Parts: sequence; C-alpha cells; structure tokens
Amino acid sequence: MQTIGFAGTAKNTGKTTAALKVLGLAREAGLRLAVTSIGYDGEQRDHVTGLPKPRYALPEGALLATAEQTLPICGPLEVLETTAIQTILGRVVIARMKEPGPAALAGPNTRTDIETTLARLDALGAELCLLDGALNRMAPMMAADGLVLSTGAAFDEAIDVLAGHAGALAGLFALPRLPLPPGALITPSLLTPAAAENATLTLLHGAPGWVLRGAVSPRLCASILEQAAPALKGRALLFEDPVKLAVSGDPRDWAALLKKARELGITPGVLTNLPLRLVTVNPFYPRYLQRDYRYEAAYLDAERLLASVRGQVTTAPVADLVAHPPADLLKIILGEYH
Amino acid sequence: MKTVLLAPLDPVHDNAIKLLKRKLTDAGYRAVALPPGSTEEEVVARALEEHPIAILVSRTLGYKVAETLGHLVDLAEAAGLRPQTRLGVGGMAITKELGAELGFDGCFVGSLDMTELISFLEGHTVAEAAQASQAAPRPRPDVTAGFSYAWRDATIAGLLDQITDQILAWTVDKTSDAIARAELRAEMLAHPSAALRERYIALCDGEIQAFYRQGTLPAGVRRLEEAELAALPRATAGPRPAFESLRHGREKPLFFVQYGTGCPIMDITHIRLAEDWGVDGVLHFDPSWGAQREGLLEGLLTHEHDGTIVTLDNLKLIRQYMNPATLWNVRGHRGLNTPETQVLAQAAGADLLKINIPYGSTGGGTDPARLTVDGVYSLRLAAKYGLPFDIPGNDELSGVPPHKTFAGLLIMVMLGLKLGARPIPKPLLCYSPYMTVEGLMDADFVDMNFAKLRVWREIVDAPVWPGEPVGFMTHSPERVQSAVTTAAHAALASSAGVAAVTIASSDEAYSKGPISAPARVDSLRATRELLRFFGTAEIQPTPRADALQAELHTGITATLTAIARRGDFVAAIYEGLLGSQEDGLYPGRTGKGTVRI
Repeated sequence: MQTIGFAGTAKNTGKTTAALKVLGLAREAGLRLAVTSIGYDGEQRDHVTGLPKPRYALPEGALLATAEQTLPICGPLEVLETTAIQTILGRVVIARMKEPGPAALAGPNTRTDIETTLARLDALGAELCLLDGALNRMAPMMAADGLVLSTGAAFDEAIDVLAGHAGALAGLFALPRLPLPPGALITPSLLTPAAAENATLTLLHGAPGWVLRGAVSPRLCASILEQAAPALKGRALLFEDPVKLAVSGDPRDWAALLKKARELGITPGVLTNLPLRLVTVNPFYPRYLQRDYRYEAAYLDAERLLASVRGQVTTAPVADLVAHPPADLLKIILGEYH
Repeated sequence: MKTVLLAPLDPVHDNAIKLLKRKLTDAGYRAVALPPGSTEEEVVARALEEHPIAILVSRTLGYKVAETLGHLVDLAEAAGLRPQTRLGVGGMAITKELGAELGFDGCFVGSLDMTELISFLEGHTVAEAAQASQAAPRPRPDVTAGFSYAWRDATIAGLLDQITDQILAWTVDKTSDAIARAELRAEMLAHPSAALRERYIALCDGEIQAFYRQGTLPAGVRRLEEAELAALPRATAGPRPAFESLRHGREKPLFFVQYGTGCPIMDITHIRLAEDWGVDGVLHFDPSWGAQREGLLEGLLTHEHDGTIVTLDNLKLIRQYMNPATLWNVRGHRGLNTPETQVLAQAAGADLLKINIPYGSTGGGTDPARLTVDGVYSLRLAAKYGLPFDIPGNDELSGVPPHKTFAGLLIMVMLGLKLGARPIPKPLLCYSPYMTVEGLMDADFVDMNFAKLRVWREIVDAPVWPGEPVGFMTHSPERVQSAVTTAAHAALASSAGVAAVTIASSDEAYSKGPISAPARVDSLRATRELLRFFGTAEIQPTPRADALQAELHTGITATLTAIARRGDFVAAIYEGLLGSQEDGLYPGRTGKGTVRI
C-alpha cells in the first residue's frame, strides 16, 4: 500500500480538494482505496469564515479510519475493527463503505498512531491510502510515502511572498538523504540558548558532523554555524527529516541557512526524506468584509499565481488542479512520473 | 508531583491560565504558567525542560489563530514530546471538531470542568472518567440524620400527646379493605398464590376487578409495548456526566424533583435528566383517580394523563434506571390505597414514603375516618420498614392558614414518632390564597417563609423539607420568571438550614400537559446558579419575620388546643378545626362509611 499525504501551508489552501481529485482518479483506475485524516474533515462550512467546504464522498468498498463520533454522519458502512487509538472524538475505527456515500474523517493525530492505522489498512487490502492533512499541520506526514503540498492565497495574498515561501518549502524536501556520520554530535532538539551553547562547544572540539533531531530553531542553528563553521567545513549537517525542518521554522529562514551552510563548505542533508510529489496552488482566499462582519470568497490572478510558484519551485511539479489539472496527475502522485 | 504546563498563547490575556493554575495546584499538581505572548517555540522549549504530563493551551479563536495552535501541536510532535506529554486546548470558542482538526489530545468546551480536566491529565477518556465516577457508589443520604426529634415546646408536645393517644385508641379496633389488601399484597409478594389473588380481587372496586378478570384497562391506560421496553437499554446507554450537586459550600439541603408524567419510560427520562443536572432525589406522583378506586392495578402500564400509575412493575422499572444513590419517595398519602402503596413502594426499593392524614382527608378527597385508619396502619408500615415518611402541607393551597396546616403536620409527626417511624414535615413555601388575602407576602417572600421555617425549630428538632414544590403559586408562564422564583425560594430554604427542598420545572405550575425537559433544566440551572451566588452567605429576614413567627406559634398552639379539647381527631377534621370550609377545605368523601371493626 502506498500512502500519500496531503498537507497545506494554511487552512483553505486546497488540501482536501487535491485529495478528492486524486480519489476520483484512483477510483477510476480501480485502486483499492483507504482514507484517513490527521485532523477533522466533516464540516460543511468553515467554522471561522462560514464559507462552504468540500466533503469526502467515498466509493463502495473504500476503507476509512475515523473516530467513532463521526460515524453517524458517514454513509452506510461496516465497522471492521475498533482500535485502541483515542482521539477527542472517540476511538479510531476502521470501516468499509457499504455503498457510495459521504464520509467524515477524524483520524489519529500523531505519527505513531497513524503508522499503526496505516498498517491495519494495508493488512485489510488497501492499495492506496490518502492521508488528509489539517490546517498547516505537517508533523505526522512523515508516516506517508509521498507528499502533496497545497499552498495558495489563504496562506498569503501577496503572490511573490507566497511563491517564495513555496519555493523554500519545496527545497526542504529536496535535501539529499545522507547517512549518519559515526561520532557525529547528535542534538535532540535545539530550541534554547543553553542547548545552542552546548552544541557550539562540542562542535568546536571537532565533531565529525552534526545531526539535529527533533525541533530546531533556524535562528539558533544559524548562530551556531556562524561560530562553528570552520570546525564543520567539509562535514555533514543533517536534520532528521524535511518535515521537522518545516514545522520548526519558516522555510525561507531555512533556505537562507542552508545556502549559507553550502557556501561554508558544509553539506546539509536529512536522515529520512519524504518525496514531494506535487505542489498545488489555489487562488482562493476568504476576504473579510468589515461592514457586514462576514467573509466572502475572493481570488487572486490564478495564472500569475501558477507561473510565480512554478518559477520558485524547481524540484517538484506545480499545478492548479481546478484550472489546469495535469493529465497524468495520478502517475505524478504515485511517483511514476519522472 | 506531576507537572502541567499552562500556555496562554495570547499576547495579553491569561486569566484562564491563572485560574487553571490555582485549581490545578489545589488539586495537587505542579502547575507552571507561561506568560502571555509566549511563542510556540518557548512553550515547547519549556516543556522539554519540565517534562510535563500535559500542556494546556488557552486561546480564543479567530482567523489564522488556528494555524498558531496547529503549529504548536506540530512542534511538540517534532520535539518528541508526544505521547508522554498530552496536549489539551480550551476556550469559549473551541469545539471538539476544531480540537480534533488541530491535533490535540483533549478539548475542553465552554466553562471549566475540573473533573473532566483531571481525568484527561491522568490519561483517562472523558467517558471512562464519567463511568468511574458513576461506578464509585455515591452514598445515599438520610434526610433525617442528625435530628433528635426532641420536643422544644412542652405545651405543644403535651397537646400532641393527648391528640395522638386518642387517635391510636380510636383506630385500634378498626380496619378497612385497604388494610386487608395491603396485607394480602405483602403475602402475595412473599408467596404468590391464586387463592390470595382471588381474595385480593374480591376486595377491589368493579373497575379494578374488570382489569383482573377480563383484562379491561381503565380509559386512558395501556400496557407498555415490548418494543418500547426493548428500546430502553439502548436509549439509556452511553456515558453520563459525573454527579455534581446543586449545593455550593453547604452539605444541605438535598434537592428533589417530582415526576409523574403518566408514562414510566418518560419518567425514567426525566429522572435521569434531573440526576444529570444535580438532584439528590425524586418523588413519584400517582394519578388522582388511582386514589379513588379500591384496589391497585398490576403490570407495566402507561397513562395518558398526569400521574404514573402505582404498580409494582412500574415502580421496579423506574427504580432500575435510577442512579442507585438517588433518593426515591413514592406518594401514597391519600386515597383508598394508602397502605398497599407503602407495601409496593418498599418492595420496589423506595427510600421514603409520604403519608398525611389531615391533607389526604380534606384536599386529597378521602373520607377522614377511612384515611385515619389507613394512615395509622401505613405509619406502622413505615416504622416496620424503617423508612422515613414526609408529610406535605398542601392544605395551604386550598386557603388554609399555615398555623392550622402546621398543627396537622405536627399531629402526624407525633403519631409517626409514637409508632416508631421517622417523620419529615413539609411546610410549603407558597404564595397561598391565605397569604394573598391577608397580604402577608405583599412586601416580600422572605419574612413569611422564614417565619414558617423557623417556627419549626422552636417546637421540635426535626428535619424540615419545604415543598411541594417551593415557590408554589409564585410561578407564571414566563420561563425566566418561573425558574428564578423557584431558585430564589430554594436559596431561601437553603439559607434557613432545611434538610431538603423540592423544586419544580419552570412549566410545572401551569403546564396543561406533560412538563418538558428544557423546563426542568431551567429550574435546576437557575437553582444551581443562585446557590453559587450565595455560597454560605445568609439571607436575613426583616424584624417582621419574628412577629410572624410568634403569630404562627400562637396559632399552632391554639389549633392543637381546640383539637385536644374536642377529643376526637376525626370529628375535628369534619368540623374544620384543621381547616374549615371558610378556609376552603372540605372533608373528603371517597371511602365514607367503609371503616369496619
């Protein structure tokens, strides 16, 4: 079974729209499907803006992993097993759709629990699992085999800013996978000046490399590099995975740091990678109307947005799935497109 | 000591966090509160130092704020804090669905529930916490505990002694078909037999006999269907909130509500609702017509008018779905089946009985002689069963002045004590016709009600339980007014130190049909809020209350003196000494001439 994660840079960037598009193509291709979510997918309207949201509609036979309390708003299904995974909306159950129908998804919210759930879906015969994201959350996505990243005007209405951010974020997923250097300094997380000081001292004593696992502040990392650059020249600077980088700091800060590291002769990489299969762009954003105290749907220039992001993201395909869906989208998602 | 990290994530406001810190510290946790404006990185960094069992976040919501909360969750996961550190979020705008979307482990909607929060901190689900709370048996309190029943007014005690000696002497050689049926019922419960059944039926009215012989049910009555009964377990399944009493800072009073929708299944729904909203006990009210027929029906019966038919099966079904800690009172103080009602109530597991001869034989409609005989027998049963019995002073609702009603209640108190039972007088806190005509409550509802409650303390050390319900005749069809007046009366009674209070739904006084669940919650919610408002602060009457109390005391003594002088309790009722036609009270006629030697 292959698992594709659908993450976004913010709410309303088009994650679920992308997932639904892939769902339709996968169903047509006859793939045995499974879906789950790291958040909650079931509301008909955005709880903050009040604007309509896309809903999942699953084919007969599709598997879903969702919390017990969402079952009453799903279509007819058969519960196959109840897991021990607890969420706010109850235990996660694995069910099979008895007929085509709507589905509300509220799956496990940690990577460990998602991996457990994916193993069960795999054992039950699913060939493709869609792992829907939530808001701008990304940490559990490392459980997936590939990632679709959705961005758009809901993240930032300034196209240049949005495109620059997307380019930097895509760059994190393009870091090479490198082996753990023996004897390297391993820093579990780097979020405090004390941890930075300890790391700096150890590096200056001549560690053969530096591995940062966990959450890492790009600002602290940059300050250490400034001090320890001569000691790290020709060595590797490794991070756990691109997702941990993405959640730890602004990708643009990371892009600057990685560029600086390369200039200093330091080789950045990751211990584990997650292939970025596709970046989608969405010109929609909710515009707040002060006079009426409500939100309305608004749109950027879609063509300009697509072109700008394509100009910045060079390591993965970029598409507007609503205006110009790629003909070979499913192949791209499954990693069969090179 | 377990550590909990509290993160406001708001640039300015952290009141919720400060409150949480205090409550968690009181609960034995080490609560570390971060300052307002803490970033997600600062929260996670602190968590890596403190190794908390949970990070609790408080933040109001708006556009883009959700992304901040989602980022915190991501960062916590990236830093390897989960699953040993649970993540919880709360605030007025949060919903469970949003909590799930944000990736939190716990979500606290609305105002703070410490039970729910602590169960989350300890790793339980809310459902588990509620179940554990339900499973841990709550003690079933005794309304009469702590009272000595010592007489503080020797004059009144002497008069009561005289009156009740006369009653007991008069009833000693008398019986009725009701007593015979009660004895047969007790035998049938112990050793069922067709012969006993035949003897029982022979002592019933024609309409009741038709039920037993032909299966004919009275008009408006039907048997509960199998499908209705089969649906009950599913309808009542699922977690229930942990019990939270209505009291705030006080051990008393206990709070009761009355039910009697006509349908045992609807009663169960109302009872469970009331339990979930904090009542300590419930009172079963039967239909008026049941009091006017010789003999009781059997089976699971539903009734389309007010009052739920007293059958052993109905009572047992209702008890089955009550919380074991909920106190249960079954009304049987009036009518032609008073003794048997006590038998069935005890067999079904009732905690309290209800017997009042003066009211039952006037406003209740039963012949005074008949009910005196049946009532005394019923008091002997109450003593035998060890069940306290309450004595509602509902004659005031007809217009009887309170001193006469209280005289009747005191007679029942002394009678019960002499027979070894435990009485609970129930003076009404009501805007009765007498109060209206005499203008005694024109200025306020405080002075007279305080006088009515305090006069009891001067006379006897007994539990006092105003009902039924409090605030009777102060309610209007306006929902808020109705709930508030109930709550105010309950707060007054609480301040006066009563043992228990009965409160109504906000539509009970004027409903032309079954009372509604929302209306029931109205009153309970209003009562909780007002008790919270007062805490242990006292409501003080004006000096006028002392004068009213003194008048009451004098009136009680005068009424009892007249009855003692009359030397015949039954005749005293007929002659209006406990409430005359002028007061709006008439002796009952049901069962007249049915007392036999």
